[in-house]
Amino acid sequence: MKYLFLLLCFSFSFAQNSDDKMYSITYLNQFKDRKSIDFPLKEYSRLLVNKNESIYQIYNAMHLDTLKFEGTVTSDDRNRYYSFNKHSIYFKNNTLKYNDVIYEDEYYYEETINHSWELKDEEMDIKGYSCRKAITNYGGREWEAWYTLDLPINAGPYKFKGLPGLILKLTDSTGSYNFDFYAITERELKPLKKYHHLKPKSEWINTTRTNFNKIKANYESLSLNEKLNYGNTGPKIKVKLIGGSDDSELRNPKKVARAKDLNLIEIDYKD
Amino acid sequence: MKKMFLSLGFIVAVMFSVSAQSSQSGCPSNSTYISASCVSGCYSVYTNNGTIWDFIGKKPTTDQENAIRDDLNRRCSTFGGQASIDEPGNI
Repeated sequence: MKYLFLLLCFSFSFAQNSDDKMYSITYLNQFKDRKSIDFPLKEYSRLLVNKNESIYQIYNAMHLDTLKFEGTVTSDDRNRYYSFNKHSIYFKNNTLKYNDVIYEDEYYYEETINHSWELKDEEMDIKGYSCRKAITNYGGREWEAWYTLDLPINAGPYKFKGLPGLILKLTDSTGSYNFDFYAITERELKPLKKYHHLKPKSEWINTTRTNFNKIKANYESLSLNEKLNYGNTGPKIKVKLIGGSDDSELRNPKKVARAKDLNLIEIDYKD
Repeated sequence: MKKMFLSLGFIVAVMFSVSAQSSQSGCPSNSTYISASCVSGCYSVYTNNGTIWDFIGKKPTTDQENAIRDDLNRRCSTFGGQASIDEPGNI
Protein backbone atom coordinates (compact mmCIF):
# COMPACT_ATOMS: atom_id res chain seq x y z
CA MET A 1 0.00 0.00 0.00
CA LYS A 2 2.85 2.34 0.97
CA TYR A 3 4.60 1.47 -2.30
CA LEU A 4 1.43 2.22 -4.28
CA PHE A 5 1.04 5.58 -2.53
CA LEU A 6 4.66 6.55 -3.31
CA LEU A 7 4.16 5.45 -6.91
CA LEU A 8 1.00 7.57 -7.23
CA CYS A 9 2.77 10.59 -5.70
CA PHE A 10 5.68 10.20 -8.13
CA SER A 11 3.34 9.70 -11.11
CA PHE A 12 1.49 12.89 -10.12
CA SER A 13 4.76 14.79 -9.77
CA PHE A 14 5.82 13.39 -13.18
CA ALA A 15 2.67 14.78 -14.77
CA GLN A 16 3.44 18.17 -13.17
CA ASN A 17 7.07 18.20 -14.31
CA SER A 18 8.12 21.69 -15.35
CA ASP A 19 10.84 22.95 -17.67
CA ASP A 20 13.31 23.63 -14.85
CA LYS A 21 13.33 20.01 -13.62
CA MET A 22 15.12 16.93 -14.81
CA TYR A 23 15.06 13.25 -13.91
CA SER A 24 18.03 11.48 -12.40
CA ILE A 25 17.83 7.75 -13.00
CA THR A 26 20.33 5.35 -11.46
CA TYR A 27 21.08 1.86 -12.76
CA LEU A 28 23.19 -0.92 -11.35
CA ASN A 29 25.33 -2.26 -14.17
CA GLN A 30 26.68 -5.80 -13.92
CA PHE A 31 28.93 -6.99 -16.70
CA LYS A 32 31.60 -9.46 -17.74
CA ASP A 33 33.73 -7.58 -20.24
CA ARG A 34 36.34 -10.35 -20.08
CA LYS A 35 35.40 -13.99 -20.68
CA SER A 36 37.77 -15.09 -17.90
CA ILE A 37 35.92 -13.15 -15.19
CA ASP A 38 34.02 -15.52 -12.91
CA PHE A 39 31.86 -12.90 -11.18
CA PRO A 40 30.33 -9.91 -12.97
CA LEU A 41 31.82 -6.46 -12.29
CA LYS A 42 29.47 -3.89 -10.81
CA GLU A 43 29.13 -0.15 -11.32
CA TYR A 44 26.30 2.29 -10.79
CA SER A 45 25.45 4.47 -13.75
CA ARG A 46 23.49 7.71 -13.89
CA LEU A 47 21.14 8.94 -16.59
CA LEU A 48 20.03 12.58 -16.42
CA VAL A 49 17.06 13.37 -18.65
CA ASN A 50 15.26 16.54 -19.61
CA LYS A 51 12.73 16.22 -22.42
CA ASN A 52 14.63 15.15 -25.56
CA GLU A 53 18.07 15.60 -24.04
CA SER A 54 20.06 13.24 -21.79
CA ILE A 55 23.53 12.45 -20.51
CA TYR A 56 24.65 8.99 -19.36
CA GLN A 57 27.81 8.17 -17.39
CA ILE A 58 29.09 5.74 -14.82
CA TYR A 59 28.26 7.32 -11.46
CA ASN A 60 31.87 7.34 -10.19
CA ALA A 61 33.11 8.88 -13.44
CA MET A 62 30.42 11.57 -13.21
CA HIS A 63 31.38 12.26 -9.59
CA LEU A 64 35.09 12.50 -10.45
CA ASP A 65 34.28 14.84 -13.36
CA THR A 66 32.39 17.09 -10.93
CA LEU A 67 35.37 17.18 -8.53
CA LYS A 68 37.74 17.95 -11.43
CA PHE A 69 35.38 20.66 -12.65
CA GLU A 70 35.39 22.19 -9.16
CA GLY A 71 39.20 21.81 -9.01
CA THR A 72 39.13 19.82 -5.78
CA VAL A 73 40.10 16.34 -6.99
CA THR A 74 42.83 14.49 -5.10
CA SER A 75 44.72 11.27 -5.77
CA ASP A 76 42.60 9.63 -3.06
CA ASP A 77 39.47 10.69 -4.97
CA ARG A 78 40.86 9.01 -8.10
CA ASN A 79 41.27 5.79 -6.11
CA ARG A 80 37.88 6.06 -4.42
CA TYR A 81 35.84 6.99 -7.49
CA TYR A 82 37.46 4.53 -9.84
CA SER A 83 35.30 3.32 -12.72
CA PHE A 84 35.94 0.58 -15.25
CA ASN A 85 34.09 2.56 -17.91
CA LYS A 86 34.83 6.22 -18.61
CA HIS A 87 32.53 6.91 -21.55
CA SER A 88 29.85 9.58 -21.63
CA ILE A 89 26.84 9.45 -23.93
CA TYR A 90 25.02 12.70 -24.63
CA PHE A 91 21.74 12.38 -26.52
CA LYS A 92 19.75 15.07 -28.25
CA ASN A 93 16.75 13.54 -29.97
CA ASN A 94 18.13 10.49 -31.79
CA THR A 95 21.72 11.65 -32.21
CA LEU A 96 24.30 10.77 -29.62
CA LYS A 97 27.73 12.19 -28.93
CA TYR A 98 30.09 9.60 -27.48
CA ASN A 99 33.28 10.51 -25.60
CA ASP A 100 35.76 8.03 -24.17
CA VAL A 101 39.36 7.97 -23.04
CA ILE A 102 42.07 5.61 -24.19
CA TYR A 103 45.23 6.27 -22.17
CA GLU A 104 46.33 9.83 -23.06
CA ASP A 105 43.73 10.46 -25.77
CA GLU A 106 40.09 11.47 -25.77
CA TYR A 107 38.03 9.94 -28.57
CA TYR A 108 34.76 11.24 -29.94
CA TYR A 109 32.15 10.07 -32.40
CA GLU A 110 28.56 10.84 -33.29
CA GLU A 111 25.93 8.25 -34.04
CA THR A 112 22.28 8.30 -35.02
CA ILE A 113 20.25 5.74 -33.12
CA ASN A 114 17.10 4.17 -34.51
CA HIS A 115 16.66 0.89 -32.69
CA SER A 116 14.20 -1.41 -34.37
CA TRP A 117 12.30 -2.62 -31.30
CA GLU A 118 10.09 -5.69 -31.43
CA LEU A 119 7.40 -5.21 -28.76
CA LYS A 120 6.34 -8.33 -26.86
CA ASP A 121 3.22 -9.09 -24.80
CA GLU A 122 5.10 -10.28 -21.72
CA GLU A 123 4.84 -8.22 -18.54
CA MET A 124 6.89 -8.01 -15.35
CA ASP A 125 6.83 -5.89 -12.20
CA ILE A 126 10.07 -4.04 -11.40
CA LYS A 127 10.17 -2.12 -8.12
CA GLY A 128 6.44 -1.44 -8.30
CA TYR A 129 6.44 -0.40 -11.95
CA SER A 130 4.56 -2.49 -14.46
CA CYS A 131 6.95 -3.29 -17.33
CA ARG A 132 6.64 -4.67 -20.82
CA LYS A 133 9.23 -6.51 -22.84
CA ALA A 134 10.90 -5.43 -26.11
CA ILE A 135 13.78 -6.87 -28.12
CA THR A 136 16.33 -5.33 -30.45
CA ASN A 137 19.76 -5.95 -31.94
CA TYR A 138 22.64 -3.57 -31.51
CA GLY A 139 26.44 -3.75 -31.62
CA GLY A 140 26.44 -7.44 -32.52
CA ARG A 141 24.28 -8.47 -29.54
CA GLU A 142 20.58 -9.21 -29.03
CA TRP A 143 19.12 -7.06 -26.26
CA GLU A 144 16.01 -7.60 -24.12
CA ALA A 145 14.55 -4.47 -22.55
CA TRP A 146 11.80 -4.01 -19.95
CA TYR A 147 10.16 -0.59 -20.10
CA THR A 148 7.35 1.01 -18.13
CA LEU A 149 4.51 3.14 -19.40
CA ASP A 150 4.19 4.51 -15.83
CA LEU A 151 7.20 6.73 -16.61
CA PRO A 152 6.71 7.95 -20.20
CA ILE A 153 10.35 8.97 -20.63
CA ASN A 154 11.96 8.03 -23.92
CA ALA A 155 15.32 7.01 -22.45
CA GLY A 156 17.33 4.14 -21.04
CA PRO A 157 20.82 3.05 -20.07
CA TYR A 158 23.82 3.20 -22.41
CA LYS A 159 22.66 3.89 -25.99
CA PHE A 160 19.16 2.48 -25.60
CA LYS A 161 15.96 4.45 -26.08
CA GLY A 162 13.07 4.60 -28.54
CA LEU A 163 10.41 2.89 -26.40
CA PRO A 164 7.17 4.47 -25.12
CA GLY A 165 8.48 4.41 -21.54
CA LEU A 166 11.64 4.41 -19.49
CA ILE A 167 13.78 1.27 -19.78
CA LEU A 168 14.11 -0.25 -16.30
CA LYS A 169 15.97 -3.42 -17.21
CA LEU A 170 18.25 -4.29 -20.09
CA THR A 171 20.09 -7.56 -20.69
CA ASP A 172 22.01 -9.00 -23.60
CA SER A 173 21.20 -12.56 -24.68
CA THR A 174 24.51 -13.96 -23.40
CA GLY A 175 23.96 -12.49 -19.92
CA SER A 176 27.28 -10.60 -20.19
CA TYR A 177 25.71 -7.15 -19.73
CA ASN A 178 22.88 -6.27 -17.34
CA PHE A 179 21.47 -2.85 -16.46
CA ASP A 180 18.98 -2.82 -13.59
CA PHE A 181 16.91 0.16 -12.48
CA TYR A 182 17.96 1.30 -9.00
CA ALA A 183 16.24 4.65 -8.33
CA ILE A 184 14.66 7.71 -9.93
CA THR A 185 14.48 11.23 -8.49
CA GLU A 186 13.36 14.61 -9.75
CA ARG A 187 16.07 17.27 -9.62
CA GLU A 188 16.66 20.93 -10.36
CA LEU A 189 17.69 21.27 -13.99
CA LYS A 190 21.40 21.78 -14.65
CA PRO A 191 23.19 21.76 -18.00
CA LEU A 192 23.26 18.21 -19.30
CA LYS A 193 26.88 17.78 -20.28
CA LYS A 194 30.07 16.01 -19.31
CA TYR A 195 31.64 18.32 -16.74
CA HIS A 196 35.27 17.47 -17.36
CA HIS A 197 37.15 16.40 -20.46
CA LEU A 198 40.67 14.98 -20.57
CA LYS A 199 41.46 17.17 -23.57
CA PRO A 200 40.11 20.40 -25.06
CA LYS A 201 37.65 19.78 -27.89
CA SER A 202 40.22 20.79 -30.54
CA GLU A 203 42.36 17.82 -29.46
CA TRP A 204 39.64 15.16 -29.41
CA ILE A 205 40.22 12.35 -31.88
CA ASN A 206 37.17 12.37 -34.11
CA THR A 207 36.40 8.88 -35.33
CA THR A 208 33.62 6.39 -36.09
CA ARG A 209 31.98 3.89 -33.76
CA THR A 210 33.55 0.87 -35.48
CA ASN A 211 37.00 2.41 -35.63
CA PHE A 212 36.82 3.43 -31.98
CA ASN A 213 35.82 -0.10 -30.93
CA LYS A 214 38.76 -1.55 -32.90
CA ILE A 215 41.18 0.87 -31.20
CA LYS A 216 39.69 0.10 -27.78
CA ALA A 217 39.91 -3.67 -28.32
CA ASN A 218 43.53 -3.31 -29.43
CA TYR A 219 44.44 -1.20 -26.36
CA GLU A 220 42.56 -3.39 -23.88
CA SER A 221 44.47 -6.46 -25.00
CA LEU A 222 47.86 -4.91 -24.12
CA SER A 223 49.85 -5.54 -20.95
CA LEU A 224 50.33 -2.60 -18.56
CA ASN A 225 53.85 -1.75 -19.76
CA GLU A 226 52.63 -1.96 -23.36
CA LYS A 227 49.79 0.41 -22.44
CA LEU A 228 52.22 2.89 -20.89
CA ASN A 229 54.12 2.90 -24.20
CA TYR A 230 50.94 3.13 -26.31
CA GLY A 231 51.51 5.64 -29.10
CA ASN A 232 54.93 6.45 -27.64
CA THR A 233 57.73 6.97 -30.16
CA GLY A 234 60.25 8.17 -27.55
CA PRO A 235 62.13 6.30 -24.82
CA LYS A 236 60.52 3.15 -23.42
CA ILE A 237 58.68 3.34 -20.08
CA LYS A 238 58.00 0.68 -17.47
CA VAL A 239 56.28 0.75 -14.10
CA LYS A 240 57.55 -0.62 -10.81
CA LEU A 241 56.06 -1.07 -7.36
CA ILE A 242 58.47 0.55 -4.89
CA GLY A 243 56.45 0.09 -1.70
CA GLY A 244 53.22 -1.47 -0.52
CA SER A 245 51.56 -4.84 -0.82
CA ASP A 246 53.14 -7.37 -3.13
CA ASP A 247 51.44 -7.39 -6.53
CA SER A 248 53.73 -9.95 -8.19
CA GLU A 249 50.83 -12.38 -8.53
CA LEU A 250 48.94 -9.69 -10.42
CA ARG A 251 51.90 -8.99 -12.65
CA ASN A 252 52.09 -12.60 -13.81
CA PRO A 253 52.11 -12.18 -17.60
CA LYS A 254 50.12 -15.39 -18.07
CA LYS A 255 47.19 -13.63 -16.39
CA VAL A 256 47.20 -10.70 -18.80
CA ALA A 257 43.88 -10.42 -20.58
CA ARG A 258 44.49 -10.78 -24.28
CA ALA A 259 42.37 -10.04 -27.30
CA LYS A 260 40.64 -13.42 -27.32
CA ASP A 261 39.49 -12.85 -23.74
CA LEU A 262 37.78 -9.53 -24.52
CA ASN A 263 34.00 -9.39 -24.31
CA LEU A 264 33.26 -5.71 -25.02
CA ILE A 265 29.69 -4.44 -25.01
CA GLU A 266 29.81 -3.83 -28.78
CA ILE A 267 31.31 -6.74 -30.69
CA ASP A 268 30.42 -5.95 -34.28
CA TYR A 269 33.84 -4.30 -34.82
CA LYS A 270 35.09 -7.84 -35.56
CA ASP A 271 32.80 -8.20 -38.61
CA MET B 1 89.16 12.50 -6.21
CA LYS B 2 87.32 15.60 -4.96
CA LYS B 3 85.12 15.47 -8.06
CA MET B 4 84.26 11.84 -7.34
CA PHE B 5 83.24 12.65 -3.77
CA LEU B 6 81.13 15.54 -5.00
CA SER B 7 79.37 13.26 -7.51
CA LEU B 8 78.83 10.62 -4.84
CA GLY B 9 77.43 13.28 -2.52
CA PHE B 10 75.07 14.45 -5.25
CA ILE B 11 73.79 10.88 -5.87
CA VAL B 12 73.26 10.32 -2.13
CA ALA B 13 71.40 13.66 -1.88
CA VAL B 14 69.15 12.73 -4.82
CA MET B 15 68.44 9.29 -3.34
CA PHE B 16 67.65 10.87 0.02
CA SER B 17 65.30 13.39 -1.55
CA VAL B 18 63.32 10.81 -3.55
CA SER B 19 63.01 8.51 -0.57
CA ALA B 20 61.51 11.30 1.51
CA GLN B 21 58.08 10.14 2.58
CA SER B 22 55.12 12.09 1.35
CA SER B 23 52.97 12.91 4.37
CA GLN B 24 49.68 12.01 2.64
CA SER B 25 50.24 8.43 1.55
CA GLY B 26 53.53 7.34 3.05
CA CYS B 27 54.96 6.95 -0.46
CA PRO B 28 58.35 8.31 -1.55
CA SER B 29 58.01 11.58 -3.45
CA ASN B 30 59.05 9.95 -6.73
CA SER B 31 56.02 7.68 -6.62
CA THR B 32 52.23 7.78 -6.33
CA TYR B 33 50.03 5.81 -4.01
CA ILE B 34 47.60 3.77 -6.10
CA SER B 35 44.88 1.69 -4.58
CA ALA B 36 42.85 -0.96 -6.39
CA SER B 37 40.24 -3.32 -4.99
CA CYS B 38 42.73 -6.07 -4.03
CA VAL B 39 46.13 -4.36 -3.92
CA SER B 40 47.72 -0.99 -3.22
CA GLY B 41 51.19 0.52 -3.18
CA CYS B 42 53.59 3.20 -4.33
CA TYR B 43 54.28 3.12 -8.04
CA SER B 44 57.11 4.77 -10.01
CA VAL B 45 57.79 4.84 -13.72
CA TYR B 46 61.21 4.21 -15.21
CA THR B 47 62.47 5.34 -18.60
CA ASN B 48 64.95 3.62 -20.87
CA ASN B 49 67.12 6.18 -22.60
CA GLY B 50 68.45 3.88 -25.29
CA THR B 51 70.75 1.57 -23.38
CA ILE B 52 69.95 1.63 -19.67
CA TRP B 53 66.91 2.08 -17.45
CA ASP B 54 66.71 5.01 -15.02
CA PHE B 55 68.32 4.23 -11.68
CA ILE B 56 65.61 6.21 -9.88
CA GLY B 57 61.99 6.20 -10.96
CA LYS B 58 59.77 9.20 -11.52
CA LYS B 59 56.31 10.01 -10.23
CA PRO B 60 53.75 8.80 -12.81
CA THR B 61 51.86 11.43 -14.78
CA THR B 62 48.08 11.51 -14.18
CA ASP B 63 47.50 9.55 -17.40
CA GLN B 64 50.08 6.94 -16.36
CA GLU B 65 48.57 6.80 -12.86
CA ASN B 66 45.12 6.19 -14.37
CA ALA B 67 46.47 3.45 -16.65
CA ILE B 68 48.17 1.71 -13.70
CA ARG B 69 45.00 1.95 -11.56
CA ASP B 70 42.92 0.59 -14.43
CA ASP B 71 45.28 -2.30 -14.95
CA LEU B 72 45.38 -3.20 -11.24
CA ASN B 73 41.59 -3.06 -10.85
CA ARG B 74 41.17 -5.09 -13.99
CA ARG B 75 43.58 -7.75 -12.76
CA CYS B 76 41.96 -7.75 -9.31
CA SER B 77 38.66 -8.57 -10.99
CA THR B 78 40.14 -11.80 -12.39
CA PHE B 79 41.32 -12.78 -8.89
CA GLY B 80 38.10 -13.44 -7.04
CA GLY B 81 35.99 -10.51 -8.10
CA GLN B 82 35.56 -6.93 -7.09
CA ALA B 83 35.37 -5.25 -3.71
CA SER B 84 31.94 -3.95 -2.66
CA ILE B 85 30.92 -0.68 -4.29
CA ASP B 86 29.60 2.45 -2.59
CA GLU B 87 25.95 3.41 -2.95
CA PRO B 88 25.63 6.31 -5.37
CA GLY B 89 25.25 9.75 -3.84
CA ASN B 90 23.36 12.80 -4.99
CA ILE B 91 25.52 14.51 -7.62
